[in-house]
Amino acid sequence: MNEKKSSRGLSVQAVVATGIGIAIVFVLKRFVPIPTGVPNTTIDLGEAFLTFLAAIFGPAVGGLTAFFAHLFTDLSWGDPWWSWIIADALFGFLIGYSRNLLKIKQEKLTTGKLVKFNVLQVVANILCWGVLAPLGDIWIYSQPAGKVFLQGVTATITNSLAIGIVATLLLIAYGKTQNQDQKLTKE
Amino acid sequence: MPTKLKTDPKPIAGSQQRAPWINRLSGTTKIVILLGLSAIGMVSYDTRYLVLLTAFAFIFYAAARLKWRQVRGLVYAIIGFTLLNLVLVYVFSPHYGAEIYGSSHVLFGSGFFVVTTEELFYLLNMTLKYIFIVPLILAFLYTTDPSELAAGMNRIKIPYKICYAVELSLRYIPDFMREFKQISLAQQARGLEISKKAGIWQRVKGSSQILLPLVFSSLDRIEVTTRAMRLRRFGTQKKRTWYMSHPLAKLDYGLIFFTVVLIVLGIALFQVNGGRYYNPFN
Amino acid sequence: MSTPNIVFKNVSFQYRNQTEPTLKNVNLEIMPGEKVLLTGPSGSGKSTLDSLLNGVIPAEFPGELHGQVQINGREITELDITALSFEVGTVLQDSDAQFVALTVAEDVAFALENDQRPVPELHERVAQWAEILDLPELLSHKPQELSGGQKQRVALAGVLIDNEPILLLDEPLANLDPAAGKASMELLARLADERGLTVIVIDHRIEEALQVAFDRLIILKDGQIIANDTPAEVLQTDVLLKNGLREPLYVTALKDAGIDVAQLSGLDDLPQLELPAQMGQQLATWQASLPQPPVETKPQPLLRGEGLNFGYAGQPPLFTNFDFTINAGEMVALVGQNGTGKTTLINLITGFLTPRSGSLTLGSQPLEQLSVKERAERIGYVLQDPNQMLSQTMVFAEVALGLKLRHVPADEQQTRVAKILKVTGLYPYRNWPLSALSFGQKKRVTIAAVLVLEPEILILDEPTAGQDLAHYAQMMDFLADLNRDLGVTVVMVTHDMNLMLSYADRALVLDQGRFLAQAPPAEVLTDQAVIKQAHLSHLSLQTLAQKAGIADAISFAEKFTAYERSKQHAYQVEN
Repeated sequence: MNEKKSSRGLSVQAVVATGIGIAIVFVLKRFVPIPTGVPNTTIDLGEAFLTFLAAIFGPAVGGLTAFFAHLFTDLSWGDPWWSWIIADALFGFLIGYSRNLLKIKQEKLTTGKLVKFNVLQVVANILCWGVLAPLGDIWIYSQPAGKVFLQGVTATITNSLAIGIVATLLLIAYGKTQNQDQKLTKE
Repeated sequence: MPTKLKTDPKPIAGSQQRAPWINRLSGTTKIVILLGLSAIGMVSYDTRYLVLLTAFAFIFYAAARLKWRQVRGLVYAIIGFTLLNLVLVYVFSPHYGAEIYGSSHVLFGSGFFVVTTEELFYLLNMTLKYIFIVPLILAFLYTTDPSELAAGMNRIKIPYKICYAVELSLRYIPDFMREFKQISLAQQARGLEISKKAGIWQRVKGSSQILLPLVFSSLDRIEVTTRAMRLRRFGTQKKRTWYMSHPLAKLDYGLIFFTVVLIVLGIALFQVNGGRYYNPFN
Repeated sequence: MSTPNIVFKNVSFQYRNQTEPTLKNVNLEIMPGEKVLLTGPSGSGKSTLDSLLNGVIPAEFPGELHGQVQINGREITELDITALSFEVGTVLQDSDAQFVALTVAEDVAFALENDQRPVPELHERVAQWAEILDLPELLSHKPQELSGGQKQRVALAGVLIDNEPILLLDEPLANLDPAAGKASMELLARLADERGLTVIVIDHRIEEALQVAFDRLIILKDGQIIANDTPAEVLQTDVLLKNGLREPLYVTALKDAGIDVAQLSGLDDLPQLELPAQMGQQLATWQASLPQPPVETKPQPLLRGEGLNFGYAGQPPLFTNFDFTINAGEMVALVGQNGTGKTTLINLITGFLTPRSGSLTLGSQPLEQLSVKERAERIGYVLQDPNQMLSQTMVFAEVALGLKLRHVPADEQQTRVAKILKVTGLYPYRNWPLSALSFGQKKRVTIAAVLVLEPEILILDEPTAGQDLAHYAQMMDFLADLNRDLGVTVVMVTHDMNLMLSYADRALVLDQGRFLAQAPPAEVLTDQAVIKQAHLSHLSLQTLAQKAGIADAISFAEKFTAYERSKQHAYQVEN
């Protein structure tokens, strides 16, 4: 991209990716949750799409998309829960750095890279949902540790799973559309 | 449009009702009130103060003149969610109230699940923290013109590019709801089973079959929309103006001032109470 | 003579990741106030030329430019996409993507907002342009609430508000019904004349575009200009058909009748065209020699809806006590203006939507108890946008998916998929990734993926959208073969009146949830009231027949299109 930096901040593409990202993540979070069987916990496809988007467009898009999509989802239920909104934003931001690891637009997507990506996403999930969100609940909302860590651990597991399966599939499919230097012949 | 969703896309902001003054409030004012109250209510554990905030929020709810059937679903969901959390908190830490307030007045029961006045008081405070802002948000959800949000955010110095991303998201939410529904049905016709009959693993894999078309069409959309915006000079200047920005009226200034007073009061109570908790037990 | 405002001198352009230049030695001058129609087969370099004019090249697609491009006297190399946006206003093909704001007013104001114009000026100029483009009552509407024609007017207002001297439109006729397309072209011509705009329209729907007067018709092929003259002059040659482009049908008819079109002036302006009596006679004699296509009646009902009631939540009911019948072995065209319930009706049939009451029967089987998945095994539905259907990465896997999800044994999958791939001409591509296919090929993959389930009825939404003449003919002949040889009943939703006349046994004309007509296409096309009410259009062939004094205009059109179909095989390109 040889975008001329005539103004500071996000590129136009990043603005659009964020806007469209918020819309899709919101729709997925709000209307398509898959219940896990554990009360109050769902497999969140929104997080999987968020991760995919962040892996392509980077930390700024990831962080902003996560923040607003989570905020809108909470508002649409009538109740914003800031510690989790902030944890989500941080997750989107962190996982955005996987862009530099995958370089999916320029390089071939190898199994090794996917493994690293998944290690990174699990670490980011543990940090954000297993540690930060519960700590936020304890410090900000003064909730008891046992309860918030249970919720945090559940979220860590379901998100890691959703991302590990769905986001990985999305990345593989996307990778195939990006590197088409192989010669195609009719047979 | 031929394919409309049966579910009305209204979660963020819906149709305007005839309400006396709340519709005239600028987006900026609503954002300031919402963020300000939400932040101070998040931190404070002063029961009296939380009741005051709830009462303040109900002024907006009353002004919005919502019909019960409009909000019924959400209210039930919030009640369910709050109850579940209360039960979880109690089950995990029946002594948490006693710990916070430094005393223990046993009401009934004994052993681990003993019920103390302190625990009940703590749970009351927690409930208030869950629900105090709900009336305000319900009122805003139904009386805010989504077009005003981006302009309103920009007025409180949020960079305009972020504000415009929010505007774009609001523009696209109805489109993606429709598209998701359409793709999901098309994939069911292909043979995908996404009903409750299928197991969870099957459903996760199945949903990626829906996500894939959605993802690729959204990536195309990002490319074309970027082009459309650059061709009309988005992002070339340090600032931008907004067709939908309105100067703040007296009412806006009044309410913002009152919100600031409330926040200052909340902070002052930290001093008075010697912390975030109001403790009636000593 | 004034100076040209667009000049191309020996221009070649090669994208960075390609081995061949896309534009080769293009020379072109466009004068202020000219109206130019630019056309060419897919891959001819139309969009590259377009992107050079508005700065999308090099902003998005870097590459190597040779030669000289000047716009309003300035070298293009000195102008970036921002500077160019003041000279050239672009309306993108997808007017939905062009709409970037929440409401009409905000979208019209968008460019001025980005220029930091003061708010009162925004309101003033939006009001002014809303007036010019007849939008005032729509200003607070959201994009989801607008028709295709309205979206296009919003797009025009949002661009013209800058007062650029040059206006560039990419496929303005895509996604519009015939009446809206005509209205759109007339509006464009009026604006151009009133404001002295230079207008460049890029489209391959030549007949529809030429409903208004253009000064020039330019044809690109393989990156080179192969025709550049007044439309009348170009139409006299056979350059269009030879290059896989659709010629206005009345022109083809004149040529086929052996009439020397070089003798006719103003060939591009059918309403004003003066056809000498002896030429009319020649045409009449020729058409009399053409065989009348046989009319088959297929009276055996296959799919029936009775007493259907349906409406979207919060809106007035769309269908009230609605009945319809599709007969076994028919090819039916479902027509009507945008937003009139065509897609809704299809969605009720496929089970995507559920009627409030009423019954649907396929053969003797009531459809109510069948799920979407089960119905799909008997009623195949090909959506307009193939991207909404494709969910695999490879062609073979995509076509096999429906069988796999229905637990058909692997070896049976192999044989059935292979068979369908051969029928659809996709067998050579079976190991290709879908992302390497063109839009038309993807559409064929979706048809194959639906056909593999061996449905009795095939429903297609806009089967030929976005395809040039060669692919159009190929696709339609393929469907006709399926219908004839395999007995598949075919329902096509379309805006293309020529397609309807050429291929459909029957036309169902839908208007606001009721049928205006259910009759052979020829009958529909001669019913003035139905045409107007349902936003359809006359065929140019009918106008021509009247000019030639041929009494039975529609029979002329029928015979001619049947003759065309047999002839078109000659032009079909092999892939």
